[in-house]
Amino acid sequence: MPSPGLIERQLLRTRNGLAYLAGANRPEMAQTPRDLVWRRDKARLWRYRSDQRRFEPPILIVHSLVSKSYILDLLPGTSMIGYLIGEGFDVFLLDWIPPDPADAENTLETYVDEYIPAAIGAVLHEAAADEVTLIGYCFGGVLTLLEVAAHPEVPVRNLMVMATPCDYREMGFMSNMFRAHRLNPEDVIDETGLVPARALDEGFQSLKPTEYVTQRMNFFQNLWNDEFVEGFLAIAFWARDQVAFPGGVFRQTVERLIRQNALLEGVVPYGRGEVRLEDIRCPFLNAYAEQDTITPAASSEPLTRLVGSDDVSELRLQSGHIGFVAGRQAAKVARPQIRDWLAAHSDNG
Amino acid sequence: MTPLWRKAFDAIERPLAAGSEAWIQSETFMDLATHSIRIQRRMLHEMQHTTERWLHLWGWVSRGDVLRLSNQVASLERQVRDLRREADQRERPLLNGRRLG
Repeated sequence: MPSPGLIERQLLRTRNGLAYLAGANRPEMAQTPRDLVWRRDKARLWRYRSDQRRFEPPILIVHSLVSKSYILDLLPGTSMIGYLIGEGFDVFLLDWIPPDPADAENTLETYVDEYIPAAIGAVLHEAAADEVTLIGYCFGGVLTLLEVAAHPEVPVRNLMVMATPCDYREMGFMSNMFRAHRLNPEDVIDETGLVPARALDEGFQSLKPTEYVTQRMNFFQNLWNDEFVEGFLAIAFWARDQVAFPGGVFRQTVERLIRQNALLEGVVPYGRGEVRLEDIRCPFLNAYAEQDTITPAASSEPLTRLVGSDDVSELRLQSGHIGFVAGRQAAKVARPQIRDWLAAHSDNG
Repeated sequence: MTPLWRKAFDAIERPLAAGSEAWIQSETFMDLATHSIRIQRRMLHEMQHTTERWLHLWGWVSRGDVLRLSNQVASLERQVRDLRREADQRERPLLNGRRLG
């Protein structure tokens, strides 16, 4: 489509600007049809509807604890989940209702020993399958790494992690504050036992202080472009729609992952013992993004050499943390590569 | 084509972004941020404590009272979860020798 002329652009900019000010152009998100198939406490398991499933085993995506899962199904046309369904995969999503004080004492073990194995059990039952392909996004990747390393009995055929932190020295300002003992977990955990969403939001904002203004400039510059505006508003809405973080997991994250940098060591204190990443023996894909400022590539990169699998692959993508799963560039470049790896490690029925 | 105003913005923003990212990683900024976070927290605590005492003088409910109640309910919910977990462990059959669901 030809780019509009100067006057037309100004008219479009005015129209979209007025709609933005009136709050009228908020995009509809998470549109892919799905069914809730299992639930326990704040854990929910969704299965996405499809009449074109042809790959086995089913895919279970484990979402992060620090954000809302609709980023994986942001808009039709850019939805990561929509893409995988369209390619013939049977997709399940394990996500988390934002925690309340009842979840404040949840630990990594709560998720890894309880919710994730139970959700895998539900996936096997629903899909009448014997195995799953596990995908972890962001902190969900940490949970899936621990899951596979701690529970060899859980039938995971393949493991893929996306934008998953490993080397916490590379995780920026807030991580450095905790690593140097300048801050302790109790400095940010509130009276409910949770790390408030606001604190996490401020932590992410601090990673790139001028980003907010730059994004507004990009928005203004492209305000005439309906497609850009829709994508921008959806991502901007998601980025500010943070959730609180359970204090129990946060204390462990600070002590084990940030201060001991245990993932980089390959040995993570866990329960009464420890888990070793070298115990991950299934096919493994480490996908991370070159321009990711939330989980920098330098933080994710070491995972590739830390797992014990003989079948290890790496995808270094030209995008950012969000663009990775929700951007239009990702739809064109990143996803076909992810699809190829998943297809090569699945049975095509 | 990039408009002039954007070129001007980028010319200012790029060095500013690089500078600010380096500055927030500096010892000085981290010291300032640490003190700022702790002072904010202490002030908030003092303010809430004072407000709570004042509200209690009039026999009114404070935010602290609601929080205490909410935490008690949360504690009860956790106990219920623990009991349910124990019951599940006893009742759930093994699936191919594995206990998954």
